[in-house]
Amino acid sequence: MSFTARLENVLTKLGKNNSPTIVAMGIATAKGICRPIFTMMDEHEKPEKKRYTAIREGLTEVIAIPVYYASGVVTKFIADKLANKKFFMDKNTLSAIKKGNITPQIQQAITQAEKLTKENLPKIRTSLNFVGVCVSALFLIPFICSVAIKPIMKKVNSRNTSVSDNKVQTINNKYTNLYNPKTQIIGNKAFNTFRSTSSGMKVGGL
Amino acid sequence: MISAIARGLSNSTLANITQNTTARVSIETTLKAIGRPGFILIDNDIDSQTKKYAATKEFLYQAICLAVYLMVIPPVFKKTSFALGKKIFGKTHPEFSKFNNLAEYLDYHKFATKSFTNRRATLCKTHSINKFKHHNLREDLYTKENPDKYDLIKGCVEAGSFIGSILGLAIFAPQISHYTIHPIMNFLGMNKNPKEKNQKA
Repeated sequence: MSFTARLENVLTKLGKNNSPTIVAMGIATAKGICRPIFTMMDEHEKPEKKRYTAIREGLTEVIAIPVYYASGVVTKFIADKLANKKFFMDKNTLSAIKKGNITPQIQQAITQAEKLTKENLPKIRTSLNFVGVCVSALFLIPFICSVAIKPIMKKVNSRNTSVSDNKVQTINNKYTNLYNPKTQIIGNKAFNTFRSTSSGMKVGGL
Repeated sequence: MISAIARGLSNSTLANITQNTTARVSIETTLKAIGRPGFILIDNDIDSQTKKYAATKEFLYQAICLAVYLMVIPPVFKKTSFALGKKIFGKTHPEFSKFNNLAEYLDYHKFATKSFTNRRATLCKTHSINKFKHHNLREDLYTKENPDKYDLIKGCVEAGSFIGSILGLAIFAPQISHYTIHPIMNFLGMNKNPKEKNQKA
C-alpha cells in the first residue's frame, strides 16, 4: 500500500469520525513536550524555578492524557446506554408496548425509533465525548493535579535538596580540613602532588 | 428526562460542532478561560492578592491562546490543508473540484448532516435558494436522504485543523503569551507576584 493510499485511508476515517478525545490527547502530548522545553529555555528565570515549573507542566500533561482517554471510554459506554430505542419513542407508543397492544401503527413507530437510534448513535457518541473532554479539562484534570502533583513535587524537591546538601557538606568538610590550623599541611592529601599511588607511567603518557 | 438528554445529544447542530476541531478547541479554551480563574478565586487557602494575580495571569494566558488560535487556524491551516488535499488527491478524487472553495464545502457539509426534512426546509429558505447550483450538489441535498458528505475532504480539513491546533496551542501561544502577559500585567498594575513583593519588602 502506497503512502498516498494510507494517507487517504487515515483522512477518510478522520472525516467520518473526528473524535474529540484523540485531538485533546494529541494537544496534551504536544504541550507536555513543548511547554517544559520552552520553560527550560527561558534565560531570565532561576534554574531551580525553571526545573520546578517544567516538571510541574510536564506532569500536568502526563496526567491529562490518561484522563482524556478514560473520559472517552466512559462517555462511549454511557452513549451506548443512551442510544436505546425507548428514548426515541413517544409516551403513547411506550405505554402501548407495555400493555402488549402492538398494532401496525405501533410497529411502524418502533421501526422508526430503531432507525433513529441507529442514525443517532454516532452523534450521541461524539457529543458526549466532547462533553467528557470539557468536564475533564475543566474539573477532573485540575482536581487530580492538585491532589497528585503536590506530593510528587515534594519528593522531587526533597531529593534535590538532599543531593545538593550532601554536595555542600562534602565541599565544606574539604575546606574546613584545608584551613584547619590543627591539620598538618604536609600530611594533607590536597597538597600532596606526587602521591605514591599516582606514580609511574599511565596510558597515553599522562 | 433521559429521553430529552438523548434527543439533545443527537441534535445535528451539536453533532456538527463536535465534529469540528476548531469549534471544539475554541469552546474548550473559552471554558478554561472562565473556569480556571474562577477555581483560583474560589480557593480559600490562598490570600486574596495572590488569588487575584494568579487568576488574572491564567485568564490572560487562555485568552491569548484563544486569540492566537482563532487568528491562525481558520485562515491558514484549514485553507492550506484543503488546497493540499486538492493537489494530492484531486486527480483520483474529482469531488475536490466540485467545490469552489473551502467555505462552500463546509456549508455543504453543514447541510448534509441535517435531517432530511430539516435540510429540505432550509434549502427552500430565501438565503439558501441560490446555493450549490452546480455539479448536482443541490439535487443531491434535496433528493437523497443520506447525501455524500465527502469524508476525504472533511478529513483533510480536520487534519489541517489538528496540526494547526497542536502548533498553535503548544508552540505559538506559549511564546506569544510569554512576551505579552507581563506588559499587560504591568499595565493592569499587577506586575509582581504578591509573594515576591512580600519577600522584597
